[in-house]
Amino acid sequence: MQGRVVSVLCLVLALAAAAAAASPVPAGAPVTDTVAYTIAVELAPSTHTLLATETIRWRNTASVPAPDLMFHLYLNAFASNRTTFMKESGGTALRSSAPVEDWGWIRITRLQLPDGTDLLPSLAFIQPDDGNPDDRTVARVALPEPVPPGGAVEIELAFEARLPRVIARTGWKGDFHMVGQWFPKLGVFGDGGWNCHQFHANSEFFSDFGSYRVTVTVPEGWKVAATGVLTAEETVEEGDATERRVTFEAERVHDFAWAAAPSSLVRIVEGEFDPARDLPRPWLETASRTLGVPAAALDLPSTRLRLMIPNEQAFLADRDLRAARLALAWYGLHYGPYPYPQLTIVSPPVGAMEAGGMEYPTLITTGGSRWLAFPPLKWTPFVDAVVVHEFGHQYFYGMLASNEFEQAWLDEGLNSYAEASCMSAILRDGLIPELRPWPGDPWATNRVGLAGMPLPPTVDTFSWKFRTRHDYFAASYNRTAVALHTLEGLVGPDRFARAMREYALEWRFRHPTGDDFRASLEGSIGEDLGWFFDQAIEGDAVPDWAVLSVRQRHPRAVRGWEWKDGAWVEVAAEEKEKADGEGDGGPWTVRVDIGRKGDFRGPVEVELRWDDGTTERRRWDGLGRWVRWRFDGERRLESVIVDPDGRWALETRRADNYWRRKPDRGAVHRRLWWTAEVLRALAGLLAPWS
Amino acid sequence: MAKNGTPSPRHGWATLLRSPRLLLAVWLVPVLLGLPFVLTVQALLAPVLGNLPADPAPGDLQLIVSGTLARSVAVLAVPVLLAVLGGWAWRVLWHAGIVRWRAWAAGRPQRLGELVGLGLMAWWRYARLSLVALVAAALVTGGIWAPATRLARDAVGRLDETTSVRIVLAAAALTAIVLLILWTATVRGLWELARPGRRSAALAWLRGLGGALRHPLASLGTLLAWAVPLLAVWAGSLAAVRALGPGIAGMAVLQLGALLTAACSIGLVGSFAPVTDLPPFPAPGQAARRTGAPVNKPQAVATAGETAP
Ligand SMILES: [Zn+2]
Repeated sequence: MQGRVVSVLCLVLALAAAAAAASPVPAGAPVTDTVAYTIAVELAPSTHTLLATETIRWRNTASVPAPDLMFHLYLNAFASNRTTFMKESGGTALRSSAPVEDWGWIRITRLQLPDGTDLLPSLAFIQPDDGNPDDRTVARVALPEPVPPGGAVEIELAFEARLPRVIARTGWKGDFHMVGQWFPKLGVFGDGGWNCHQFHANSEFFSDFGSYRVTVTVPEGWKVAATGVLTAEETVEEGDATERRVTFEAERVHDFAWAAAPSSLVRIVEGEFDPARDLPRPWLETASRTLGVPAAALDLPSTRLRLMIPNEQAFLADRDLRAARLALAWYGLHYGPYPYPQLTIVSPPVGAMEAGGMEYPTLITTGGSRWLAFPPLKWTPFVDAVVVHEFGHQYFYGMLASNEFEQAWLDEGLNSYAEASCMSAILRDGLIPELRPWPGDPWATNRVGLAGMPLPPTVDTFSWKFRTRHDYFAASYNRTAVALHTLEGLVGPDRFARAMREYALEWRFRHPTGDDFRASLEGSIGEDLGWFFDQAIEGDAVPDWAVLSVRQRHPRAVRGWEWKDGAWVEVAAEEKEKADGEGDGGPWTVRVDIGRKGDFRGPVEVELRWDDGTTERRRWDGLGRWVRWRFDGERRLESVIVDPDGRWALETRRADNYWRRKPDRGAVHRRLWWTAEVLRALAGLLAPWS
Repeated sequence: MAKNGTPSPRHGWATLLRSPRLLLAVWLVPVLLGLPFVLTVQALLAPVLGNLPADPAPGDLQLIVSGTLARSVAVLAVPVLLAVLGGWAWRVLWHAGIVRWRAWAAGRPQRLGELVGLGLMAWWRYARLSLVALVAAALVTGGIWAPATRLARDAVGRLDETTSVRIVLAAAALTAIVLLILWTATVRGLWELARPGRRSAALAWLRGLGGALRHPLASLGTLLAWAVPLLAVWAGSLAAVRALGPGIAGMAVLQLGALLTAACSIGLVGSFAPVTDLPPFPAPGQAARRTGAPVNKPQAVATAGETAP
């Protein structure tokens, strides 16, 4: 491959429009045109290298001048085993012994203003998070003149990059190339300066909205899938080689990724989400009722679907597309319509699974396997849940675009909540026939994951500051999702659904923070939720309720001396015996102690079921450690259940929430008789060898 | 070498019909060995599950059961090991017993105590045979899967998933066939070990393997004639319990299934009796049975203390 730089594509700027926009943006308003990237890139498949030119036009939307620019150079995270990413990930993703071609990097070779002022000499690598001098994932360049609030700057650059062997959702494997986090990309400038974190093992991303126009050159016969929509395509002769040049454009997005592979390896399957055909009617009716919105107002637009899938897994195309249609329907109903014309799905080959399960604006990656053609793997929700999850990121990562470095839960957690809701609905309504035998429950999976934690993590923590990688996932995904499910139970599913929809619509294209999310929910629900967020998200409190004791006795007979007519009189013998009688008949004195074993304080319902067939529900504020209730009457309790509807999904120690006067002795056999058969089968495995 | 008879399910039937007490034991001993596990699960979970209503809050059952069992792994390991290892030891015992009894006293009515005594005397020898079989199965399985996984992984590395799937499927099919052959070899080995003067378990197993390879159709056919119904009965009884529920009817079906699988196990071992030079069973009611005298020459049978000729 010759070191040929692709000719620069001219970015035509409407200078008048820029001048008109030269005023700071009101705080919190949606901004979708902070930055415009025009990139021309050529992929050299044999060396897995990129050669590119890039023009960036950036507008200062803050109220302070910007004296410099800061870039993410994410691919440098894979340059050596000493980068912050590699040190934090423990090198498991890319072994230190990996051959040199497995590592990747990016280098800016030209950096200038349109008037030719060379900025490259002032480019310097900085390490704002950890000072690791071997980490070159952030670079700073000083500008000759600061960019005033509302002002804009345009810079031109050229860069070369070597993709790593596929790692952390980017790179190559064989001829398959997933090209993500691949170009010099600006951080986010605000009144406090640049927010431009290094690439960490546990973090995802944060950037401004803008437009992208990217021209990709690949060998002829290669397929390309990318963010945005295909707007131009041509075949060019380059020396004795024929190449394919395709242009993709996207608006109102904050990143751009693409995938390329030869047609011998992958194919493109086109599809469509047609709401008239693909929107499940019961979902529309339920959503309309729950959200209090007329069905007509929940109209969804149709969306083009474009799937890149390995030829060997073509049988999974229908399943991928069906899951995408269901996700478009569910998220569209509950979080507002998907506003882009197209969704692109990339299903990497099985050897490149590291590229799977990732979100980029309007492009998601999933993952399949030929084994999914055979039961019982065919009956597992692996593919469907990943498509639903990654599509869900189009909302919480794509449009809401919170700072994932600092508050990953706003994306992964809210999306895990939405994914579990959507998958529960799909499973309940049997909308994916292959999943009908699947016994799993998405909420139970999330809760069992939390139950095994040695220490409860604090959700609202910078991504790289969790104690372990497992803590990062458990906090950002499971705990957040289950906490929101708990809040849903506590405030009621309808109110919560409306609040989530309002948040998703109100904060589109506005980069909400955790405080914005809380305030939005409080506004919609009309309650102070500080007590909940402080404990569930800002704190590490764990709820744990229990029936501490239930005592049911006949009232004590009077013993000793009785005060009668101004004198002490001995209690008569027959008086003593009367109330001490045995038997099931009343009267009864009932005493119930309910306790709070966990450190999470909050209201909880208790169900009391009496032997006369009546049931009552009491509410305890859960602020103290325990509460005692006394009842005197002719009836006694059959059962007591704390949180009988399971609203406190965050509570994972549930056994002591239940009390029965007459324990069900057959319960273990009835529910677990099959464990003895499993043991018999296990023992039977030795039978042929004895 | 000694002439080999051909195994046949017919011999298994004959053995089965003459072993009603053994059938009861083969059925009930594993049930008893599994009892500590059942009781442990009961003890661990009864206090929590007994308090649950018929329909606990969503997800609670999974959380409570998985949480309780996860905290009790060490406690559960003991009854699990008892059931698995005890089951193995018992199978070695009755396999040894039935072979010895068939060789020693085939004409007499079966006495369970005698059979168990014979089995105990030869237990270690038959345990060695089992260990040889286990090691052989492990070696062969490893020998197939070590290269297969490497080849499959290489194919995945070349993004050639079809080839990797084919390699795995081929390895699975090969493993199944080879393990069936090794199973046959082990059952033949049980009887080879009853030959006069044979003390080496490894040699007996190898002779069993030789026989299985020389008579593959008769050996495998006989094995499958019992093994297939055994698995079908087990799966069928589980399906029946799912349909009937774990009440009295369901448990009765489950135990009936266990009884039938025990019968299949005895039939399977008995079918390979002709592997040795033993005479066939006399028809029921013949003289030997009435007199109770051994039909076989006792000195022709290797016993635990005997030296090789
Ligand atoms: Zn995610």
